Amino acid sequence: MSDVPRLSPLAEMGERLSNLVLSGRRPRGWLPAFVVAVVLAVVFAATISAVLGLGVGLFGLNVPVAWAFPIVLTIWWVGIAHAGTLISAVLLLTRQRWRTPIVRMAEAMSMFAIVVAGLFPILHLGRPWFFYYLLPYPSTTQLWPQWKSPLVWDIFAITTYLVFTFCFFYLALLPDFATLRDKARSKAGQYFYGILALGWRGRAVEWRRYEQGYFALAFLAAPIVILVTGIISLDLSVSMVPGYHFTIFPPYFICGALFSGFATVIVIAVTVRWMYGLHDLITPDHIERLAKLMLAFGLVVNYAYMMEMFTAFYSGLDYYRYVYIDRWTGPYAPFWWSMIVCNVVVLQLVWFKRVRRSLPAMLCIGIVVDIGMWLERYQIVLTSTHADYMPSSWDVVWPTVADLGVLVGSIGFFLVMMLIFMRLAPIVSIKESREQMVEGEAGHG
Amino acid sequence: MAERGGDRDGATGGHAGHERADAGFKGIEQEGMARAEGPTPIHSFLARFDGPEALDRAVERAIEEGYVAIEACSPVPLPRIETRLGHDERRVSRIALVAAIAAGAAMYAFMYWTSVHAYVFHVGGRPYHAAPPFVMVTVATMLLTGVVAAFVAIVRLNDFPKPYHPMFNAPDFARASDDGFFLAIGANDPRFDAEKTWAFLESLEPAKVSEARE
Repeated sequence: MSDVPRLSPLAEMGERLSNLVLSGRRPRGWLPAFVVAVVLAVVFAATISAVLGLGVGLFGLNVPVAWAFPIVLTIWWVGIAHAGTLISAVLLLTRQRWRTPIVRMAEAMSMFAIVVAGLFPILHLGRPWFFYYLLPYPSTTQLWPQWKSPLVWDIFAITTYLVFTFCFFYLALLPDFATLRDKARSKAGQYFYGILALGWRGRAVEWRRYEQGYFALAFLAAPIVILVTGIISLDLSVSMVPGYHFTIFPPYFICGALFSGFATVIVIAVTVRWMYGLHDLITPDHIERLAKLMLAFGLVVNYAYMMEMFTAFYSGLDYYRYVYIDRWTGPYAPFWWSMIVCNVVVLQLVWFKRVRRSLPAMLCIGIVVDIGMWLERYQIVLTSTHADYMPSSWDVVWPTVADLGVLVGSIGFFLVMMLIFMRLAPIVSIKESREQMVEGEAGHG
Repeated sequence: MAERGGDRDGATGGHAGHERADAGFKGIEQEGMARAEGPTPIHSFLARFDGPEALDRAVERAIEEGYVAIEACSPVPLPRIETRLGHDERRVSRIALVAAIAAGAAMYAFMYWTSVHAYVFHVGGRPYHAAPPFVMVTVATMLLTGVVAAFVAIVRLNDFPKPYHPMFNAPDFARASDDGFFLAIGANDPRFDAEKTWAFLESLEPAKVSEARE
């Protein structure tokens, strides 16, 4: 479009955002990040192959700690996914226009986090190739799923979330794919985006149906978030294990999920801003708003920590009280105290406006919160089962090489998907930015 | 931004409608997309405007003029134009709602049948039919079906995927996904007349009028 002397503001914005992809320029730091991510993803693939070949015993799980890293990682990754859903859907319904520049990266984060999260419950089955036993299908054994089991609820919840995230993500991308199709200079690009755009023409009737469906999905998003993490928390709290059996678990887990999710969005937003130099689009204002949301959900999590301890002692049950004494002084005490430092102590810095508006500070706090929330899930899952009602069966387990392999490997796999995605689709939504411009104009006129 | 700014690029000259139309078609030929047999039938005429307000006025005028095969293509949703064109259907959300309720009811009934009749499993005296745990999968199924139904409804009602459409042949239609706000009048309109319709579109003072051939 070099022959057009002056582009309209709309065209200028479209040009800039589509050029993030079509120019083929590598964003800053992309290549080293990609190399590291690929190496970690290879570790992930190797670990999974080993687990499939040799058995689930490679993970540090055994009776009494039958759930360890796979469950910890599922909860962690699903939690990270939730903030993306909340930003893209709930902030859409509440018409929070500030979300525009971060919505696409938050949605991508959700999409790829849920893909990672979904792998672990299947791996943890031991014989993953029989995962379809969980599905209700007319089998020759005439067996049907046990509908009262949270593990059956799990597969429905996670499948729902995966499908929802994909549909919502793809719909959000559809008009942008059309823009890329029309702007792509190479034949391959035109075909690639042409197929993905499905023949989108931007007709009024297409938009009408699109907006209706998009809002319908956004409307379903909040119950889906509550359902998914609620059900995952019920996996724990429906059982009678001290340390798991708390009624506070569903809201506690949902707020914890959003807490870690907002932390991750902050980390991604600050990083993407640096990589692409989007200093005018992603401003300290955006990070501050995300930080406030993170603080709000973090404080609910802090409250849940207190209530959980209170409930344990108020219950008058020795085993419940002992769970806490064990968390404070037992073999896993370093995890518990580190969690408190990350999620309670460091979090209080976010009260200060200067910290909230400082991008390096928020990047560090975001990472610390992610670590803290991982520790939280680790100590909930492990400390509760390693010492339950039967002291004779108490045991302590430590992570194995396979555990660490899936931990770092899952991060690598996630980063590979994020890094490839940001080269194939604009990391800032063109459609939403455009809408904001047109609406802004209408507001002035 | 002014709604109809000065960056009007319809400077190909030519005053009679057909000259302009042919110029538009030759433009495509030069890009190597034309067929050997010569001009194919006209699919529609498109007028490009620079902003939503201009398009809105143009759509209003076209309706007043009695055209019915009108389409408005824009890079952003324009609810006012949707209403003007009578696209006030609520099918997508209704399909999603009905599908969700039907699937939820079916799932609950299915769980009842498997637990109480097909595979009775006695665990510590717990009731075979238990509403609280059944709610989980029922709600999950409702949400899943609602999501899938809304997605499929958007794709199917819009007749996607349809990578080719004659409108893409218009020389500047690529801007419909960028900064162009298009009014299209189809050749299947009973009032369509190559000369008059072209003149009418020109009278709306668009940035450019072009034609799309089949």
